[in-house]
Amino acid sequence: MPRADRYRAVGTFGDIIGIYERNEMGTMAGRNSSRKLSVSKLKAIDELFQSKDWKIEFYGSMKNSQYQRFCERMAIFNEADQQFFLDMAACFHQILINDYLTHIWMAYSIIPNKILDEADKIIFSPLLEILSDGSRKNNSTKSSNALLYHMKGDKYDNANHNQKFEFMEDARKIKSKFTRKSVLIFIDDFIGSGKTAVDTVKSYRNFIPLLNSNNCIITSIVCQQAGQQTILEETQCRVEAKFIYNKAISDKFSGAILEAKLKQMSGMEKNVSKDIMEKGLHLGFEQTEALVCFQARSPNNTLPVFWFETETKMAPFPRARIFKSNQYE
Amino acid sequence: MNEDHRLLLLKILKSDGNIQPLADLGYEFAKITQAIKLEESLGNFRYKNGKFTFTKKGLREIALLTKHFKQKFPWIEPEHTSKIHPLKKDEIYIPDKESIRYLFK
Repeated sequence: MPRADRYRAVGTFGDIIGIYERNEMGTMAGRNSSRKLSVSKLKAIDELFQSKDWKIEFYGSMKNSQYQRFCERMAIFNEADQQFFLDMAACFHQILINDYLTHIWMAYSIIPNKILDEADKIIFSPLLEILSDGSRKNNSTKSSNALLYHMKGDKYDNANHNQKFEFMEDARKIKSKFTRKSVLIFIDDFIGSGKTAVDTVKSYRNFIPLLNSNNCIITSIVCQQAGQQTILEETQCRVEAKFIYNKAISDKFSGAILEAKLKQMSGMEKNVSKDIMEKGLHLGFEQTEALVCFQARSPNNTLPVFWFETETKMAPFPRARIFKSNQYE
Repeated sequence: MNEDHRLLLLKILKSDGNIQPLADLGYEFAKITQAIKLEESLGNFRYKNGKFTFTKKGLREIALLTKHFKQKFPWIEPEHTSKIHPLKKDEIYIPDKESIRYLFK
């Protein structure tokens, strides 16, 4: 039964007008009675999408569009939380797949020439932890594999020292080719807490004794400042990224305001799903407080209010499509 | 958007109200945004500094649509106090003694 018809089963349009005249922001009988989104907030969302150059689809099925998802997420919050959500969204960064290569080569170009001049080989490898025998710890394909594949396929004519480039995924192969003069560059699209990077560098250092902090560099499209700090402290390796971002809340506010904002965010997370806290994703994995998504998929380090989806609540930048869109049909 | 729904939209716009009733009627938020932009381009309201100001044309439009609406539907307001609202998934209905008096004959 179409949604509109189902609504008529509990109230006619006359009822709606009637109720509406009594209470302008009033409650409605029906499924979404608890959801509220004022016209001015909808206008603010529209302006945000225009300023961010995010696409608003006005054709075809719009039920799953990013705009619909954004508005649906906003509607579950109260007015104060909606404003906070909008403020956070204004700082949100969406990296589009078409720009991946440009960004990663720009991150590479930050590496000082002095290091690369002296190298006999510049080996690129995905930032993935290995076991003591050099095999991959986790065999699933990660975004860093895809990024390496695209870099390999690129002409990289404009990149410095491109004649020295080698692209390898197998640590055993890297070990056999690596010399005292070689440089190993780990690549990834996102570094959050820095834990994966630290584990990867440590596992490679155990496997390739020639590796040290001078010939091992980590390059990423986006890196959280806290992650960069952790990597530097624990491995002394250089980390270069096109975008380096601060924590969305903790680095923006301080004192009593920070406490209030963190409390407000906890409330918003509870509003989305209690699972966020239970799964240890409060403020994002390892409390990273990131505000970034790649194409339309967010890393779990991003604030969960932007990506955590349930069967009944859709998210604007989901990691996995859990929401069941046919529930309204 | 038909005439009745347009009236609802204009009424919501006039008071910067909740647009969820329109979403519940099956309109996607993008469609609602488009309809709002259309009303603005028709000169029915102005939006400045987060405030909606209805023009004389807009107010006339609401009056006209209301007139049509009242002609179509007899204006008998439903008795809201008697309306039984559907329970949410996580709600438990506990009746008061008055409503289950018939059980204690």
